[in-house]
Amino acid sequence: MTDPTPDAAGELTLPVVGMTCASCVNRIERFLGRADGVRQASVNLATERATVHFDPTAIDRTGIVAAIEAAGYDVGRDPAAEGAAEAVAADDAHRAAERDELLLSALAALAIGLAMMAVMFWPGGPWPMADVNRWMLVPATIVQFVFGQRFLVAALRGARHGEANMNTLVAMGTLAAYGYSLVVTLTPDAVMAAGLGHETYFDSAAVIIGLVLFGRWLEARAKGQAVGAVKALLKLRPDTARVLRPGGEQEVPVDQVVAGDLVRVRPGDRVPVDGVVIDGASAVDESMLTGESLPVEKRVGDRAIGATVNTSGSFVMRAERVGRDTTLAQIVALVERAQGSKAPIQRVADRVTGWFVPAVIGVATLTFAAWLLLGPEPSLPFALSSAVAVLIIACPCAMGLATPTAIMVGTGKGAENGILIRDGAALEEARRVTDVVLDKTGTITRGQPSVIFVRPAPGIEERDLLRIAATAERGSEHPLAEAIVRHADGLGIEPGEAERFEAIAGRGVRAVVEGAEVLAGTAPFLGEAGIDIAPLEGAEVGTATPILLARDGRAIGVIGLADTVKPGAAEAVRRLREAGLQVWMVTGDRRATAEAIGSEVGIGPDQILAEVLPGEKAERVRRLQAGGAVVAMVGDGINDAPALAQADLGIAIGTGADVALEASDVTLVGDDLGAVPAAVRLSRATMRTIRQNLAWAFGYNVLLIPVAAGVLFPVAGLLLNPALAAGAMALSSVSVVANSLRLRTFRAA
Amino acid sequence: MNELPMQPTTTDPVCGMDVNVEIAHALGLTSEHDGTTYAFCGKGCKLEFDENPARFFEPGYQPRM
Repeated sequence: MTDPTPDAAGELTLPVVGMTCASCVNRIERFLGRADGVRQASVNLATERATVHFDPTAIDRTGIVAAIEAAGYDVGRDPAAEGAAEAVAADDAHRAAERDELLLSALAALAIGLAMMAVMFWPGGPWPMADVNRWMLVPATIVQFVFGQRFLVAALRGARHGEANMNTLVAMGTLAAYGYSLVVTLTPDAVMAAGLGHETYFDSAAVIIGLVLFGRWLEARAKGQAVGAVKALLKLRPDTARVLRPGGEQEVPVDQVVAGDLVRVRPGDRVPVDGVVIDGASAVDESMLTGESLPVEKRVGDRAIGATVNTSGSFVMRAERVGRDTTLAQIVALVERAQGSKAPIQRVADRVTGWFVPAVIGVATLTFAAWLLLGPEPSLPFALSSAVAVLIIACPCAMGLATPTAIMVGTGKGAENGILIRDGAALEEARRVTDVVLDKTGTITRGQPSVIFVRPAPGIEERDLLRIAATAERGSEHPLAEAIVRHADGLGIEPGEAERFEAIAGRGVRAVVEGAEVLAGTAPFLGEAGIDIAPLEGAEVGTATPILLARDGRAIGVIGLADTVKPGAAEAVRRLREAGLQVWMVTGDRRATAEAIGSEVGIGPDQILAEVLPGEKAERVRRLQAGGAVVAMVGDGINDAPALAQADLGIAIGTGADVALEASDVTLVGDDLGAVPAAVRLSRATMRTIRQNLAWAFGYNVLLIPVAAGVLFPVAGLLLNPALAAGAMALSSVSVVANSLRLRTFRAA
Repeated sequence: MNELPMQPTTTDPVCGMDVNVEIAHALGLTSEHDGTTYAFCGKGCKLEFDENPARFFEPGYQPRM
């Protein structure tokens, strides 16, 4: 690096790391000032820059850096984007390379196979067949043993364990075709003597391998798309964290953060792990995990969740849950488990495949024997080609794809929409559900109070009342107090500074606001203070909780607070009914309160289970089940855990942070009730796709096996060419994968 | 609701700033003097303190930034 040295005077600006206060500034300036050749040094704490004017003949950059380091500070590098997030990229690149290799092999095998076909079927071809066979021997061998190696190896491995699978079928079919052709090519005279022609099946074997490889490529590509949801979640995790260590902040890989470490989170950073804010304040965007669109305020004592994005403030947090314990890691694990799990319906498919393969080998052997004994001359080529056709057409790969692709795409789509489905069994249960029980607090309602009315006493302005209330309540952490402050803030009312703030638990607060003593709290609290609350009494408060206010011994108004219904709750209830489900509400509230909420969301009195103690919720679910209902229970996952477990399908709705993910079959990451009908619809769509896929694969195999065996030959002269059989088989795999990918168009809204 | 947030803070004897004790410990920004542990806002203050702790306990010393 060359320093800019205009004229005889040098000027240099360096980033300085580790300054915290003006003492630091003074110290660095003092050390720089003492250095020979420095004319003037000014250090800016805010920009973390030292600007030095110096005599370039007496000192250079190295000397200036040395002076700063002598003062105890480091000169930082200019912020450069240093290698990060490369692990995920490398993994992607690796998979992409594998996919590319599959595609290249497939295309090469197909090209060779098709070229051989063209040469063999050249109209009036000028070359003798025996010569053509010899030319084809080398490319055919390459396709069979290089591009087709994976099938042979897998078949051999399966055979050692006494297993027959799809690879067995491909290996047997192509080896039969290749082996027969090899004999024809190497011993043309003996073949002639046996009364057979010179036709070979090199081209068929190559095309089969090419097509099956192509199917595998499609499968790999579909997989790549289906696991996109997990990868998207993983990409949320930052690579490094700024850990406070003796000697300063260190940027370390996030895996090296341990519980108890203090981590600084700067504006724009992603929160690296789960922890508690111990210094500073900010607002954090948690939408990626919770769906909550507004940034969430974080102050000392609040939890910060890994992978969420810090906005404008800066804070220090103590790491509590790291590595596999973070909320993000748990969500990823849940999604992965669901995607890798097998629904009962897939186990059926696996059982079928288990006996299907030996049966097909049996049918192929029978076909071979029948053609050899009963078929027209030359019977051996007919017998061989028919047996090969049976082996290829029966390949159950489409069947093997039917369930996993649908579950992967379905659960992946769910995760994209904040619907985490535990496993394939949960999908099946969701399809059978007849009744949905919604918990009231936290599920239908927000679970936190909001201001629903403000009634100032005569002579008091509403805004003044709110300002006084917000000022007095600002120091309180009570949910009701916070709701009042939030409400005032929403109206653009700026609270002032309260003095001598005092909170009396369960009753209210006392503070000096604008020079006057203010009380805010329950009616008895004000009454005991000798305040005449008669002017405030008698007003209808309904289901609201009133907070009474007094200033200098005189009542000035009342603010009513209540838990309010979530926006979209009524719409969600309507959609659940549209899906043919009975909708219930369960709550510990008195019936009148419960019915008031019920009428807001469209749940009638006879579908409201009111005055139910928390421990009784599971019993209520059991009673519904005893009546023949398949019950989905929707709750906030913590106090509803027994009911969630009792239900056929437990759906936890919550913030994603503290929710008991393990207790439920389905977890809704956001708190939007609209995700419940979406989850039901997604499950139904996924199960429908699985059934369609199985029908495709089974029907296809069952229909074409007799044709491949030559059953239609005596009647219609119809035989399945091995190459056509392979093409049709690959198409069936493609249809199954494409049918699953249709789920990607599912819309949650 | 959270418990009341209690910030364990102390005063930097050099510059007078409020210092979060937990953070100062993590960063190694503490020094012992006469059996008491003092926490500092940053390296500058700690180094100043370590060079001559007695200076900051003189009656006339005014912590300033």
